[in-house]
Amino acid sequence: MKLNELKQNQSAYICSVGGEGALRQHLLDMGVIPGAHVQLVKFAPLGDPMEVRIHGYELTLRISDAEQITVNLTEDEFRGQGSETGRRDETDHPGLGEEGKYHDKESETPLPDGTKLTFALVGNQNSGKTTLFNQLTGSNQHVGNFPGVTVDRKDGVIKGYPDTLITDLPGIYSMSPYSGEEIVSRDFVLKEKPKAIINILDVTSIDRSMYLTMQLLEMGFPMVVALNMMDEMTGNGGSVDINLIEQMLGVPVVPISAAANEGVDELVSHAIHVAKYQEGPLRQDFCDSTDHGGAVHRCLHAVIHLIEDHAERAGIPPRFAAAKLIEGDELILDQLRLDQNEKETLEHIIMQMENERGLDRSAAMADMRYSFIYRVCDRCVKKPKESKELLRSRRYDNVLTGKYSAIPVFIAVMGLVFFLTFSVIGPFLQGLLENGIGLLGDAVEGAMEAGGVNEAIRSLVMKGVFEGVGSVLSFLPIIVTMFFFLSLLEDSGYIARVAFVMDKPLRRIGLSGRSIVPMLIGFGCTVPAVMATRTLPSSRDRRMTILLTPFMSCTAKLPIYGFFVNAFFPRHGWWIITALYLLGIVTGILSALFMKKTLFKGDAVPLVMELPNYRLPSAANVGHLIWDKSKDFLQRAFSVILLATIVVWFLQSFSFSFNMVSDAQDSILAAVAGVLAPVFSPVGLGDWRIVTALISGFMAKESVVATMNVLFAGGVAAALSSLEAASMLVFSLLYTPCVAAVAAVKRELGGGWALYVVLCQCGIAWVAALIVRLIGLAAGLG
Amino acid sequence: MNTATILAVIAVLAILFFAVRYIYKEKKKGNHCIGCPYADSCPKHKNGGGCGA
Repeated sequence: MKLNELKQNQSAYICSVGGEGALRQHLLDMGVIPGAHVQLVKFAPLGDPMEVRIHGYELTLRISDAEQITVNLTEDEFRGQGSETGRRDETDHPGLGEEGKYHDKESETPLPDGTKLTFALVGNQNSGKTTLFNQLTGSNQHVGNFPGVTVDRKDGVIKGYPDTLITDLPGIYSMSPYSGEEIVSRDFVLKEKPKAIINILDVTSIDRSMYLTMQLLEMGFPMVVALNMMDEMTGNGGSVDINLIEQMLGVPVVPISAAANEGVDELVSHAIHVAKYQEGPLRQDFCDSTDHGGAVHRCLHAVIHLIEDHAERAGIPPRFAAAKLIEGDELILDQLRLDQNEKETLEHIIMQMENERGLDRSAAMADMRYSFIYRVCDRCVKKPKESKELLRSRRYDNVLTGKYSAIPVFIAVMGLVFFLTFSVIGPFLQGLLENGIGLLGDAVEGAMEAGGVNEAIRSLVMKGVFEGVGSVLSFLPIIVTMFFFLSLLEDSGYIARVAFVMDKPLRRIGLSGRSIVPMLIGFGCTVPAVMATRTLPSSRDRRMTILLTPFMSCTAKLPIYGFFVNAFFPRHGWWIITALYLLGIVTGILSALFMKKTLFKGDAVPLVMELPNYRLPSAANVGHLIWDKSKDFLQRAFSVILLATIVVWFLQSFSFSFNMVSDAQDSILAAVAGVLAPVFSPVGLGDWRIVTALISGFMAKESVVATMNVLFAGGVAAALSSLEAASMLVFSLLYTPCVAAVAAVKRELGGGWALYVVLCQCGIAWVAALIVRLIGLAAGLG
Repeated sequence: MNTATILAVIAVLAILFFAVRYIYKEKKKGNHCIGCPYADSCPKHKNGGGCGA
């Protein structure tokens, strides 16, 4: 039977893993291998994807991917690898790395004094790398309880060791180039050749985590293994025989708790030692000469001998290169520059192994590694049957991802976040800040008046600095509040569940479940929404999501809706605003479908994702995030935005002859707007004042209303018809996002895509407004 | 031009000076996206690709 045919809580052993390419390799790397014990936890509320438990952790995958996996039902209860009673052979102490107990002194090649010791911090996603990095360096990098928070490398110096440099790499599950992060990490290790590797493992899923360790050991770099979350393991009655696992792996192993800063000092001393003395792993050979007649063992060693000279020339460890070649890694094959005869020999060796082993090459290599891991875990690890954290997560998930409760709870949670952000906490703090800015502005204006300061300078200070930068600053509390709640959701582990629940509906429009998060944030503000796309693993999904976020109506547009609804449709306000939000969503969906067929052909990235246990968010982590966001925002407000605001003030205040104008109609901005007015005539917005307001909305949407209030002195209701107001509402909903959002798009995708967003959104808005106008005219309105 | 105007001009110029200096220093550090919290590790300016590419 197939994996997707399992019923809830049914267990099975995997028989075969079908499919091909990078996804199949990724599944194998994550432990989905023949012989592995798997249990179906649940299907998502809409029937796809599904959540399975394997190697002691929760994995999500889509039905279409699960159909490629065949299984045999078993009555056995689910078990991960590792003994539940533990073994207790006596082993010598101290272990590896302590005074060179197992180290071969003759092969020692200590680095000269003064050499900078470089370290790579490598581990699975969500294993606590960034938490450890922060402990080691004293940094405040953002951490989250969501796979893929770190999307790029970060460097720092280990506290107390000025001649060190440690690099925090994106989380990876193997050294196969499945995703961009994996390529970043693999390239860093292979090309920059750190003096040592610190491999961090989540000890609560040690068998899965150790798969990467195997590959790192094959590379032969000096290495220390850090068993993170050891406090959680021991708190649930589990343990690891550290001395024995060191002996079996051939590298120092240190139990730590990065979050509690336990064991970190010992880890550092081991890391410095192996780096300084260049102590490589004592063991790199994990294949068993007796397993299935030693098919994989013989194949691996034959390939090592075949390519050894090429690997040394290419600077790639031969053992690692051989393993990757057998797995079919094209990048390594290209780097080795084998001749045709060697390539054919290689293929013959691998085919012989496949015949003898009865598994294809990728599965055979994964099986070889996991067989070794099982042997290590069976001897060294005493696993708790079920951890408190897992049981707690399951209780929460009964509601949060339950068949009937997941979507209502999701809507309620997001509704609460938006309500508190935009109706309670945000406006309260915004009001306080606005009052403060207002009082300061009044004081400065009063002082300038009393001192008889030149009118142009007064205008510059009040309109350019206080009204411009001040109005932007007033949004700081809302942005910080939004980030606060999103940080709570992310740290708790709920965001990963949202991706799981919403994957199926989003896939219909060409996106994966992970895209839901930025799109929801887009209802608040497009800038953080665009930034939030960094957690998406696929470049295609990220670009597509960024292009769709402007269709989610941000809160800065609410004043425009309120202004026109009050003036023209006072008795139909709520449904008109609701309809505008829905129109934005529908237009976004239509655009997504269009992009799926044109710009971004293909399917969304597979949702093979680990579901982390729920955890209590850390106050320090949330605090650091808020401080970082505030600092970034303030730096931007007082640099780029300040200069841009002054330029706009100048255009609004001066004529082409550089005389200060008393009537805005004579300004440079009005002249420019007048040129553009004919473009807007077909949609009923040909008045230069409306064009000016729309242009000012490019700086900040809120200024549309402020500009119209100034320019339409007699009231907008007297100057426009209801149909023109409806056209204006639709145009405002869909036209270009503000300059800050466009800058965010430029930062993420480059100037070309930012221009595309501006032009495309304006084009769509123009067409939509025209349709509204034509329908209105046909209905006899206007 | 009276004293108060001169002081106001000096204040505005000082604000502008610090804003321009901040932008200049960031550009000199290789940060093309001023104010971007990810600028320090932005691969766009390290590897020639797009941010996060």
